[in-house]
Amino acid sequence: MKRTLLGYVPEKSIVYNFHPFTRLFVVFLLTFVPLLILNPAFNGALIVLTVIFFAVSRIDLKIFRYYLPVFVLLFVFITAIYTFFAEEEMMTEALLSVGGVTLYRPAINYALKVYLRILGVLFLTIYFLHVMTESEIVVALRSVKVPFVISYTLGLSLRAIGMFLEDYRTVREAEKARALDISEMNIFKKAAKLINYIVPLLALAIRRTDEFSDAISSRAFSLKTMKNRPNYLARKNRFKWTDFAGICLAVLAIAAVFYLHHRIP
Amino acid sequence: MTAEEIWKVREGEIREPGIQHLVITALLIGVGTVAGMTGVSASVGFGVTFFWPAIAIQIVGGMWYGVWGGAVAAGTFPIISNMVAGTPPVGSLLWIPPNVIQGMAVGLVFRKFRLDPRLKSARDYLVFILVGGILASIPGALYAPWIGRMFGLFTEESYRVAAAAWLVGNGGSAIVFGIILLKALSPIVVKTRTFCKTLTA
Amino acid sequence: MKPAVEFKDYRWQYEGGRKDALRIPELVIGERSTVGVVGPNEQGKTTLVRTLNGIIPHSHRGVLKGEARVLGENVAEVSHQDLSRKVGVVFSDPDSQFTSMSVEEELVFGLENLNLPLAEIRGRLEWITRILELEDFLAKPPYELSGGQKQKVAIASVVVMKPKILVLDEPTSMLDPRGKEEIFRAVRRIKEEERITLVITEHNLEELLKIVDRVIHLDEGTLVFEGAVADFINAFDYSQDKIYPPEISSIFDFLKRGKEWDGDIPWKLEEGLKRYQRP
Repeated sequence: MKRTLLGYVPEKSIVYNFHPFTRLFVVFLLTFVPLLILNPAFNGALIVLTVIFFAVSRIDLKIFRYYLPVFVLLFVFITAIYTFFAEEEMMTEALLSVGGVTLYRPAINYALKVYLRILGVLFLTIYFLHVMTESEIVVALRSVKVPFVISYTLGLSLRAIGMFLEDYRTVREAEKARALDISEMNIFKKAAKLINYIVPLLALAIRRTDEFSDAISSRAFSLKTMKNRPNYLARKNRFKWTDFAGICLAVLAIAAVFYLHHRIP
Repeated sequence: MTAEEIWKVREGEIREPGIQHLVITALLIGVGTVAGMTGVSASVGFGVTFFWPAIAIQIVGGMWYGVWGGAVAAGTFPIISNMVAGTPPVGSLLWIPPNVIQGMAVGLVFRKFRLDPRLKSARDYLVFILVGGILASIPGALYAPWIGRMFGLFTEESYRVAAAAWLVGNGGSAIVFGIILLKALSPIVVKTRTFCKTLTA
Repeated sequence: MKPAVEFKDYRWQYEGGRKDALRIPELVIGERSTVGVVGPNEQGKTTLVRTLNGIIPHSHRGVLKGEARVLGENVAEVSHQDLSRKVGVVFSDPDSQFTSMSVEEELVFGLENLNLPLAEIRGRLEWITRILELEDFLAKPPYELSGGQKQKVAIASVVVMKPKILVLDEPTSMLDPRGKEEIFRAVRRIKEEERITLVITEHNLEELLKIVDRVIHLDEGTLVFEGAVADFINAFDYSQDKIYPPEISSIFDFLKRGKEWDGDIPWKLEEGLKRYQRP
């Protein structure tokens, strides 16, 4: 299994047939569907398509269990908004009334459409985080000539996230060893406790700044000599016909979706 | 070291952005993302979050490291932590303006009026709470429900409640967490070579 | 032997510091020699390392007096970038040196910074991978390796740039005994393969003294000794407890004080066993 940003991909997966840039581009493009279209048919189809992506990439679908609380929280939040703060034009047809609170059919319909839209975005983002490594994001950016300083700083940031998550886990483990487990606390206590993590993490960042800067500058890195820098790793990640096919297919699919959305009332 | 000495660029002192500023930017993005992912952030989609402790990282970032911490890191790490919460980067890009305001405002005022980032006097506290906690959070509080409405997450009716909740939740964490971080770490940070007396170095 | 490093009346004080962090009245390190820098913590070793590749005075604020020349150039006058092409430094914490997501990226980072042609980068990558046996790790994230492997990658990422001077700043201080052994084996390999000037700061004198030709001893930021290993070990004050000499040397010093031994003090176990014969 190959570790990615949020999960694992089997060593043999269709994912590797596509250049990191293609993966980045296709997901980026597809997210425009839920961002710009509310129609549940399109967003529902997108969710199904993303699940198919997961399956053909051979990613274990059980990972969705971890996101279940997020899906539920979103559902509750959106339904509550459209129950307690529905706009007047949505309060035309009562669905049911419980304890003085009335649910209106148009409001709930709209809430479900919004929910499906957000789920579409969530599924795509989760897929992206499961098929990309930190390194591949940098490769993708460098392949389209994003200035090295930017892609390098982003790479270093992604590295830093992993490093601080590890530090965070270490602090938590140490606390658990002393019988303090914040996962059992309520949200307010958790929030109050959080500062105990942020202070040491930030202190570590401050200390590491000098160490990283010295190490980087000791390897001849200079902000002034970044032009025409060779890109050795580009050799290993070349665009193939599958990439062109994937990108073309995604563009055509998006064009078709927007065409149909425009034509269908 | 007085507050004046902290910010004043001495005669002949050369202050230029260097590799260390790129590094601290990256590290703040790292810490900020982790702080934004620690399980208590109440994200409801499209980057709208009613309690977001990482706001404190934006504020101290701008206070200590000028544009590196207050604009570049403060504008970038929410994109990553929002992604983990399910918001695509395209959606998060909309958040850059309020994030940069949150990150930069109090740092700018402290530099301009030579206030002490170690929060030594009542005036330092007052300005920090007013500017860093309240004023800098207002754009975000007005913006968040607007973005939410754009995507159907909020209704017209919920706008005021959402704005108020955002202001209290995020402004409150900015004040509480911000004060603790500044008191704990400013005395060390102001002595480091990465600390920015000016906005860039 | 041409000098690789020369210090003359050198003093460095960090901004805000109350005293000099490093004071070296005079010091010459010959080209292609292997030098060990020893001394307790916070006594100038890292400041010396930072001076050798120009991090001091170019990236740290402070007051410099006197002169430090590296490969004939005054460190205060030559840019840090120019110097870092010739002087490679490996720091003690490998985790704070990795900025890439795979070992391969980490190894080519410095080579890309040098703007080398791609064929040259490939050649050097294959070379360093072979001599330090890193073939199996290339695709792995460096932070997932063991301590010894991490430090080996950190050393490889600097050696691959083919510096004229290689400085290792306490390369084994964060490693377990197996990791330490791995690193000293790698350093010996580099010493055999590349005839470069090697400067190693280290606590572990046991292993260090086996591979260096000369020793620099710093105490309270001041150079207190510079000379051959044999002279260092014989002039060493065994009653102090700031740095620990090799066990075998302590035993021979004990014997010497008890009039049981009147020859030179050895620093290698094998050598000690050979020399010492019971009456």
